[in-house]
Amino acid sequence: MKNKRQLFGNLVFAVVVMIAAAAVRADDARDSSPQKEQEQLAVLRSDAPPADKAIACKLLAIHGSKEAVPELAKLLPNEQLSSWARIALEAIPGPEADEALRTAAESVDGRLLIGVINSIGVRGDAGAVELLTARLNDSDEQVASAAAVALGHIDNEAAAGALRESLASGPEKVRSAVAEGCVLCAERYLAAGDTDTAVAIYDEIRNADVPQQRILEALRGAILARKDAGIPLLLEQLRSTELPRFQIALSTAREFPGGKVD
Amino acid sequence: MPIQGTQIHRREFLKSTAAVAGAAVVAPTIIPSSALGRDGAVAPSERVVVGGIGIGRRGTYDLGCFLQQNDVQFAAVCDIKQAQRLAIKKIVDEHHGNENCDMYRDFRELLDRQDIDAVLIATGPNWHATAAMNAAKAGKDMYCEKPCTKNIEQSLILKDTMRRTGRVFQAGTQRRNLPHFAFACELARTGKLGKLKRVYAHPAGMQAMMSGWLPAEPEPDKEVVDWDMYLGPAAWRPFNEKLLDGFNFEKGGGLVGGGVLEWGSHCVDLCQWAVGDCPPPVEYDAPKDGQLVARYDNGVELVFRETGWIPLGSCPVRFEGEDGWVEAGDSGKMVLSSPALLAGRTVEEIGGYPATFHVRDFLDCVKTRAQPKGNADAACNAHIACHAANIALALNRQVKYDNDTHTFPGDEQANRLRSEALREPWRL
Repeated sequence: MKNKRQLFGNLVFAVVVMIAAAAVRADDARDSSPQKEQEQLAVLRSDAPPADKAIACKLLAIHGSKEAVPELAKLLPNEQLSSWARIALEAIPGPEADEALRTAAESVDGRLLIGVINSIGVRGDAGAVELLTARLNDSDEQVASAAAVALGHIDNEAAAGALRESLASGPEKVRSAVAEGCVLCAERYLAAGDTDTAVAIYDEIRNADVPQQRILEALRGAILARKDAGIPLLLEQLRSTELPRFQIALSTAREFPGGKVD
Repeated sequence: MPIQGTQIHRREFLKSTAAVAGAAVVAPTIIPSSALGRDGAVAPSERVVVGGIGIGRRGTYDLGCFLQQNDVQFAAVCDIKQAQRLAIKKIVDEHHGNENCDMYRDFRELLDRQDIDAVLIATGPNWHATAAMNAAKAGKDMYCEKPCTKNIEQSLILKDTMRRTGRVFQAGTQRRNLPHFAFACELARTGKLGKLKRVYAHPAGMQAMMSGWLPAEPEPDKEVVDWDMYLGPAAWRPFNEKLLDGFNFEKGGGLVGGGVLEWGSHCVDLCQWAVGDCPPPVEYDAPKDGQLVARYDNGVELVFRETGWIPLGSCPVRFEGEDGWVEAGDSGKMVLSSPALLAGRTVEEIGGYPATFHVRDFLDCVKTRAQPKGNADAACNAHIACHAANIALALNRQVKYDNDTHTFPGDEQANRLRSEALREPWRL
């Protein structure tokens, strides 16, 4: 057994060495300096092959500043390099990267647009609420769904409001993603101490025409947000003849604070 | 965290209630005796219908562990490689004695199936977190191979997603269910080694690296190898057959990955268990002389070290307290500072493999909705420790992690390495 394990270990090591040929040592992550940024920007501005530009994007995620944003933004419509550019743009702090992503969201489409929207969501860009709200009705349901989840990541009332409205009257195919965004909003309200709004959102999801898993997530939230007043709702699920409701009640009971559930 | 008395009471109640009521809820009114579990058969209400996503080398081993369980019905396999789909279907169909294992190229189609309760995710590490979160949002429980995440942010989102969706998540950290490792962790956790001072993990490689491109080769037909789906959330690059080894592709991370995460997600996970599954260390020193020292909030040190191990097989761990120490490895053996620590038992009696214990633990929790040993919270903490160590390696300096904000306060360079954009259209 030991010999087999040693052989396997040697094999793994050999494969790692082989793959390392495709890798860049992370040494370049060290010693951040404007000089490092300039070196990578020079690569992006040159006729270097896409492979080199891809790695330059990665290093700009570590060393890039607002100066790198325009060069990275140029790559957002590039099918091969868009995702590499977003690695840097998601990481670079400041409004310039937000603005670049918002601008791109008006010009790219399809999968590239979805990627840009996802990055806007990761950055939680409050300035993108209007743009994303408009996309909730996009004819491409994947784009609309991405916009819904991105709105869920944005911490303001306008984003939550847009999602709640869409939950009630938006396109049916997007409603699952809208509910997902709503749950994210409700969690934030709850964490901020606004229990009433959190409960209201959870209840809206519970009563919406959305997939069962979204209902279960809202049920869990509705029970926990209500604290002791949520126990009747918990018991109702424990008595349910629907297995998924019974199951979510079991796991929610384990999370329930205090001793009353015991 | 120690379990409070009231919580034990509730958990015990829930465990028994779940098993009984779960069966009652779904049992039909009139059914044959074999379907009720008589004559050695497992009643349908007790069966767990499982689908496999990305079943390669490791996945095939996991699949074997699943198929050994009488209550598992393996219903479908998804793989981006046609040859692998066919190979797994053959194994499953032969086991079940039918032709019913369905095949998929896109795992989302498998997740859409309402009859599937749980999934085995054994793709390359690049896909683990994204597939797991898609599965949770589709209402599936999952056994997910490790490393489960590519960076700190993914680890946190994974934990939150499992909590929010109420799904059962078992990381493929099977050593949590191996008796000798469990025994060693128990010694540390319960104070039998005295006040804990140091826990050691074997990372099997301490070089952080970034993944890149290889020269383009002609891309196979999508039905044979779906390269776009293989890349999944990883940044685009041209097809190259050498990258088709999912085990190493984007190994352990995009911005910074490497051996600390690959083995660390096992060894560090055990160290985390030994320290009571507390939040991960808050300080990570620069690597020096083949080791990297991290410190927990309470001063206990987590030491990643390459050498100096007693030869006990791969994936060794060592726990040192003021009154004693224990070291264990994959051979199933342990060495202890004093025989008294064994409390009258022998190492052989305690025993080691097989890894089927871990799969059994998962399946039991699917039924009871309890948390399995490799749950998302535990996995998240262990993975964050590995990712933070990788960042210290990449930057070659100390980094300090705040477990409240989940950031490296005042350290923009380190913070930028906390996450990485996913390729379109994927999101977490």
